[in-house]
Amino acid sequence: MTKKLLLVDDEEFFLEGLKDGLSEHENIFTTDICFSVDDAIKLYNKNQYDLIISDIRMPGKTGLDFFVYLREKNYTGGFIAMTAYGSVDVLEKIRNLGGLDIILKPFDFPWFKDKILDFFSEEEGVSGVVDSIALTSLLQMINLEKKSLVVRIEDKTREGFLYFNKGEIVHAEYLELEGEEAAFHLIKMKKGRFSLLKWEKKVKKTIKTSFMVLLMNAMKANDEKTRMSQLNRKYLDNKKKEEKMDAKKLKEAVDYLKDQLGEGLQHTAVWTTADGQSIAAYNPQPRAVALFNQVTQQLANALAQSEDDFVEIGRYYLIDLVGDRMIIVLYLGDYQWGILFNQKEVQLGLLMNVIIPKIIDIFEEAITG
Amino acid sequence: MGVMLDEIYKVVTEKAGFKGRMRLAVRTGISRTKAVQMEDSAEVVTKFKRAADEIVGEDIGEIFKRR
Repeated sequence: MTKKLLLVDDEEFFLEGLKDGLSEHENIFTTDICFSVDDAIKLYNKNQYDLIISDIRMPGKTGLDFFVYLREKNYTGGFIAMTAYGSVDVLEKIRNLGGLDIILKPFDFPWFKDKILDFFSEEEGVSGVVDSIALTSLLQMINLEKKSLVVRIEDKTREGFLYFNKGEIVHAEYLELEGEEAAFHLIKMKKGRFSLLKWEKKVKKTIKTSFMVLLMNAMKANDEKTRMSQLNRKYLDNKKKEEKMDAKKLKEAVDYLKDQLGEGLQHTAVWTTADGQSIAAYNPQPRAVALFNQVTQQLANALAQSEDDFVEIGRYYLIDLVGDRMIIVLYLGDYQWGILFNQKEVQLGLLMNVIIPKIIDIFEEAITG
Repeated sequence: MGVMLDEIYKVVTEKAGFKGRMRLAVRTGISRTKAVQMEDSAEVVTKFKRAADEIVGEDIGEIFKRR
């Protein structure tokens, strides 16, 4: 189905030119243009847009007014703001952290066209008016428009205030906190409602840090928190798997390998594919485990992307290393088993045909309990 | 004793590597060592075949016929 794009800017000649240039892609998306937020609202109510690109500073209602309107109407498509002010590097960093996507004017038309095509080729847009990013996007709009107002942010039981003076946060209040600490907590809030208020009281300036720095730090903290919770979940999943594993059997498998290879065995480890954590080892080498976990991942990806019929790693892969050493990695799905040995002291045939089948049998008993 | 189950293990390992073999063991709860010691009862063979079909991505009965 053809997508719909709405462009909003008060520069008529500029928009006509963009629309004309984009018309060659009408099989992918059609473009509507309008020169004021009032007209944009009228068009919005008659059409279903997948992407809206709006200038920020316009006479009458501004891009911020339009953004707040869209938010109230629960618009779920993409939203990109255009401005002539800002630093490309900073805006790019913020966008990568999940903030508002902003196009700096002037721009090259081919780049602009590719950006729109990229947006429509992705299943989900680069930005949207959803709870997790709407607040930071709104704050960015206030900053870019250099507005002076108060943002009230509230969730079920708590509320806080961000005081903007000409686009910079000068004061914040949240519970018993104030100043930067309060602002930091409020910007990080992922859920809740916000409203824009006029200044009604005098406040002292408690924040000197620039808005962009505050925003970036808060978004980085959120990003880190998400990453940590993902790691934590992965860790707990692995813990559960390890708890199910028969540790005695696992040790038996490693001991068997050790006994059979004797001095020829230099190192061995069984690790979890998800995070490269060793769960059993002889002569442990965590860095080697992490390295070979990565090698397996890259090999598996390369095979999967190959147009030839290789598809997947079968039972193992083997690498001949300098210094008469060889490593064999048994690919067991959720687990991997690496064996580093001296080629001169180990009979490869015996290892492949007798010892490995035996340790696999024991390992299998360990995972089935 | 467990000839059929052993064959299923062999086919899965051949077609889906050790990763497939481990999935078969976890899905059925029966390791190859135990499987070869068991009777090839219809119930267990059906359970193994169903899991193996899914892991290999094709009807392993057909694979047996081609062997």
